[in-house]
Amino acid sequence: MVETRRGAAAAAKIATGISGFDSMASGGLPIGRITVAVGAAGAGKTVFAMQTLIHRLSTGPGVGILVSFEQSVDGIAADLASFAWNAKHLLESGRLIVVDGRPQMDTLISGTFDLAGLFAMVEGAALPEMPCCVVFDGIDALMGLLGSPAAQRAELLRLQDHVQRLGATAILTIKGNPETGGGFEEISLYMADCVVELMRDGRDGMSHRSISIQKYRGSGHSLSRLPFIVTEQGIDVEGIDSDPHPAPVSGDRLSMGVPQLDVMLVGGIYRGTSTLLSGSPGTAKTTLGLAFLDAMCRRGERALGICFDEGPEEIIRNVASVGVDLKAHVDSGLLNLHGIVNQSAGTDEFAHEIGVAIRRHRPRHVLIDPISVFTEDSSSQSAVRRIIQLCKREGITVVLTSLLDRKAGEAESSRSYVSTMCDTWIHLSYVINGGERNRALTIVKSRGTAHSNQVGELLLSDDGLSIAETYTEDGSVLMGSLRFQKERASQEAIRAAEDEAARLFREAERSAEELAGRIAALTSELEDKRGQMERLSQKSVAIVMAEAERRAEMSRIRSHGEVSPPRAEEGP
Amino acid sequence: MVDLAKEALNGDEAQPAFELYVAGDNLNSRRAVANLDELIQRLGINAKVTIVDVLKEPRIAFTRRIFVTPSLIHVMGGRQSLIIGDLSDLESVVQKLKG
Repeated sequence: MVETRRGAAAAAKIATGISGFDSMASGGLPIGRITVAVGAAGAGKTVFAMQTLIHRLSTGPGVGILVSFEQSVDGIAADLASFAWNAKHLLESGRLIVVDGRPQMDTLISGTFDLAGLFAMVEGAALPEMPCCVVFDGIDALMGLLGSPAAQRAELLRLQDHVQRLGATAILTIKGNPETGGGFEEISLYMADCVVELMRDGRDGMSHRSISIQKYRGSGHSLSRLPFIVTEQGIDVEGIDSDPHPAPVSGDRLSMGVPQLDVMLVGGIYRGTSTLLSGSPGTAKTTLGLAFLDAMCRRGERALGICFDEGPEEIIRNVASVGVDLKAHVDSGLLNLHGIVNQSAGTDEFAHEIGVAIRRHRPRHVLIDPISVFTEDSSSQSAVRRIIQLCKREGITVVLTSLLDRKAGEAESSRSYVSTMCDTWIHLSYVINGGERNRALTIVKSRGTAHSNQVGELLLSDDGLSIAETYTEDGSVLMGSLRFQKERASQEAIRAAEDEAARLFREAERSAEELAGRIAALTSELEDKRGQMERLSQKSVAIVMAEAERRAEMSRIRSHGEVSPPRAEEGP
Repeated sequence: MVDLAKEALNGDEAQPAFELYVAGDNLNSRRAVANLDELIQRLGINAKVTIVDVLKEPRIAFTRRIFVTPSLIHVMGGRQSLIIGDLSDLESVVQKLKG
C-alpha cells in the first residue's frame, strides 16, 4: 500500500475491518481520496469512521488523526474505550491523535477565512512517506461557518489536494438531513469520491440501522442497503447478499434421526438444505429437530442448536426423557446449544447473534428453534433470508422450527415466506379423535425428493421417536388408541390364524404318523406273507419232487414184475 | 500536549498580546496583517504581536487548535478570545475587544 500511495493512489484501498462492508466496497475505502459518511444523528457515522481508523492503525504503520467537531477529547477516548479495539495503547503511543475541534467559546467571525489551518495541522501530524488516516467527525459544523457554497467547495477542493498529496485516507462524517438537503451536504456528496450512507429508523419500538454505498468513483460496489448492528467489535454488516462461491450442491442424504421418517423422505434430507418443521405448540417440533442434531453428532459432525424458548440444560433434560442423549455430544464439543435469552432484542440482533454463533462453532448443521421469533415484517424476512443464505453458502444443513399460533388454527400454513425459502417442509399437527390428541406428521414438500404422501403418527417414547403407520378406516386416519385397537385387532386375527394353522399342522402330522405306523405294520405283515409264500413254495417243490420219485418207483416196480427184485445196479 | 495558551499567559499579564495565525502569503493573510495593525492603532494600546504561518509551523497550529486561517487570539489579563477571518469587519472586533 505504501508504494502505491502516491500517483497510483486512486486505485488503492484500505480495508475498514468492518465485516461485510469491505466486500460491499470491493475492498474498502479509497486511499488519497475523500470518503463521506453521511447519516442522521445516531446512525453510526462516528463509529464507522473510528472503526476504520483503528483498523488501519492496528494493521499497519502510520498515524491516525481524529478531529472531532462535536465531542471533547475525553469524550472520544471514552467512546473508543467502549469498544474492544484496544485503542488505548494507540492513544498513549501517539499514533492516534485526537483533536478537539469544537468551536471555541467566545469566538467572533470577522471577514473571510479558510481552513488552511486544519489542513496544515493534518500535514504537520502526518509522517513523511507514511500512510495516514484522517477523520473529520462532524465537519459540517465547521463548514457551516464558511457560509457560501463557493467557499465550502473551495475548501473541499483544498482538502482533496492535501489528501491526495499525502496519500492519506480522509473520512468526513456529516449529518444528513433528508428533509432539507442542500447546503454543504449536497456539495460534499457531489465532491467526495466515496459516499457511505448510514440510516437508522425506528419501527415496532426497535431501531434498525442499515448501511449503503451511494457512490464510489472508479470502483465497483454493492448496490444493496444492508442492515448492521453495533457490537463491542463495532459495526457488523450482514454482508451476505452476493457471494460468488456458494457451497457445492450435495447429493448426500442425511437421517432426520427417525428411521421411518427417513423412509418417508426417501433416505432423508439433502446435506446443505433447509428444512422447516412447522406445527402447533407441543407437536414435538423441538424434539424432532434435536433428534436430527443427535443423528448428525452420532455421525461425528458438528452441530449447533439456537434455542429461544428454553435454556441448554432444560433442553438436554427434556429430550433425554424421550431417549435422545445430547449431553454426550455437548461434552465432546460436537454440539453447541446456544440459548438466546434477550427476547427484547431486534431481529437484526438475533440474526447477528446467530451468525456469530455459526462462525464461532463452525457447525455442519444448525437448528433454530423457533424461527417464528422473526415476524412477518420486512426486516425479519430479510434477517431470515440472510441466515438461510449464510447456511446455504457455507453448506450448512439448517432446520427451522416454526410455531403456529392458535389463532391461525391448525391449518398447514406457516410464515409463508419461510416455507417458500425452505427446501423441505414437514408439518406437525394434532389430530383429535376418540378423545385423544395425537401428533400427525406430513411432508408438505421436499425439493428433489419423491417423498411420501402419507400422514404418519409421530410417537414419543422412552426409546426415542418413531413414526407409526396410520390406519385408514372409512376414509379417515386412525391414530392413537384407535390405531392401537386396530393394530391389536389385526394382531389377534393373525394370532388366531397362526393357532389354526398350527392345529391343522399338528392334525396332519398325527395322521401322517398314524399312516406311517400303519404302513410299518402292513409292511411287516407283507414280509410275513412273503416268507410264508417262500416257505410254501419250497414245500410244494419238495412235495412235487417226492411225488415224482414215488411215481417213478412205482412205474419201475410195475415194469419188472409184481414183486420187483432189487435193482441190478443196486447190486446184491 | 504542550499548552501554548499557558505559555503565552506566562508573559506580562497586564500587556495585551495578539497571536495571528495565517496560511502563507495569500490575500486573506495580507489583509489580516494589515487589519491587525489598524486594530491595534484603533484600540490605542501597546500590544505584543506574534504572527504564525501555519504552513511553516503546523505543530503550533495543532497545539493551539487553529483550524481556520486567519485566526487571531487575543490574550488579555488571563482571558483569551478568538476572532476568525481577515478582520475586515474591524468595527465589530473593536467593539468586542473594548467590551
